[in-house]
Amino acid sequence: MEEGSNQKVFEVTEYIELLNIFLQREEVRLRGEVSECKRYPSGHVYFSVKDKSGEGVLSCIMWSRNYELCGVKLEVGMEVILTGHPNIYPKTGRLSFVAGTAELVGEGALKKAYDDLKKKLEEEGLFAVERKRPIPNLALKIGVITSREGAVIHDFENNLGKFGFKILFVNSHVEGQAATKDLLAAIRTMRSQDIEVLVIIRGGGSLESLQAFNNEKLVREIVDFPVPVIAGIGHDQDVPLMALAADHMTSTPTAAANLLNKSWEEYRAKISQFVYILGNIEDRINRIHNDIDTAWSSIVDHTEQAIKTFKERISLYERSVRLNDPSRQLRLGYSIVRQGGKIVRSVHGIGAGDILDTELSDGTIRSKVEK
Amino acid sequence: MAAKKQQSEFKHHLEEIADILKWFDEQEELDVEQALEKIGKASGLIKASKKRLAEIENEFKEIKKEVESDKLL
Repeated sequence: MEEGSNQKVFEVTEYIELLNIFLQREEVRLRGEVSECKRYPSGHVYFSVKDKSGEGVLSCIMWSRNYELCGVKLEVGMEVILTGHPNIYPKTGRLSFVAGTAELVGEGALKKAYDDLKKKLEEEGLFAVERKRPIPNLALKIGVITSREGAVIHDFENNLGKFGFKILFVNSHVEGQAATKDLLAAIRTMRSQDIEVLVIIRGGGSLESLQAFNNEKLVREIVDFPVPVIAGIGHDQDVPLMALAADHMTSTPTAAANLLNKSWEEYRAKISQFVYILGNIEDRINRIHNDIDTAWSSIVDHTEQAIKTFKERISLYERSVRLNDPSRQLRLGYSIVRQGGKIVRSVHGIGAGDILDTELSDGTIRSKVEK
Repeated sequence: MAAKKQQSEFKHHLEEIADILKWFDEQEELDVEQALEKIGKASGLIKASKKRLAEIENEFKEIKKEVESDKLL
């Protein structure tokens, strides 16, 4: 009793609150068939799930926001998997299962839900080609949403070209219905960021594992997203509805990276071509320079040679004129002998008594021949 | 035009000198007075030709210097 008296004594509400703290930690996935279901004006949904045998029944609550987010319209007889935790309502002491999300069970149900939603969104024109936006040329600022776990993000980054991309990464779960909240939060985070393209990627999976990407709210977020969206989501048969709503859809994260590389590679090819053309122009200019230099050298050589030739010719003429100058001969001591004004070139015909005029450099001597 | 005319004169002068020298080669009996007259004329032509050739050479050197300094730029 003494020991007992030392134990803390709880008030009922206080104890229920304590229990709820413990219970909230116990998140489980619970499978059952919806047996009753009512949505109140507040939007909250109160329903029950039971085993197929009908032996076990559990009251459940799904808050309005979560119900709208999960994309499943609960109906009596529908088999679902709920994710959530138990909670005791203090005023009644009643235990309920608070479901955070609900997933349809079985490929058939999933496929029907997928087809119904696809048809509805298609009719609204959300997948129309006309509303697809092109990826901006030379986009650099890229927002990426995917799970940091696994190879997908590495595949994407490894396949991005070295063009100086600035990647803003937001981590999100991408598996199953539970990923919806994460994906929506990540997309809303990206809305306010300075990015040019949003890329949402994950590896391949079944219709069940890709449930989050078939969520109506998510599709509408993508449609309204301020910049073009690339969805690189692997899939087996049914294309995720989010991918259909995205501006560009690729089947793998690698293909999404290649799509971003495309305009850069085209630009690089154009630059290479331009550099090649510039190289050609430079070669041609160099050739013209060489031709001009060669022509100039030739002109210089010819002109110098011509001047040299003229100089030599003038020198030659000068020498010839000097040699032919009769006064030069006279200055050297030669004289010109004339008889009767005619030059005497021979002694023949000259006799004694003839008068001869001898012209010297500085005058003329008249003389008489003696013999 | 003036340069062309001067160049033509230069060429003409050289031809005239060549003619005078040819005249000397052809003379069997030299007329000294005529020879002196021709020599005087040839000397004048040679002097004018040398002067003109020097002008041409200087002009060419200026052009060459200008072109080659442009090539260094």
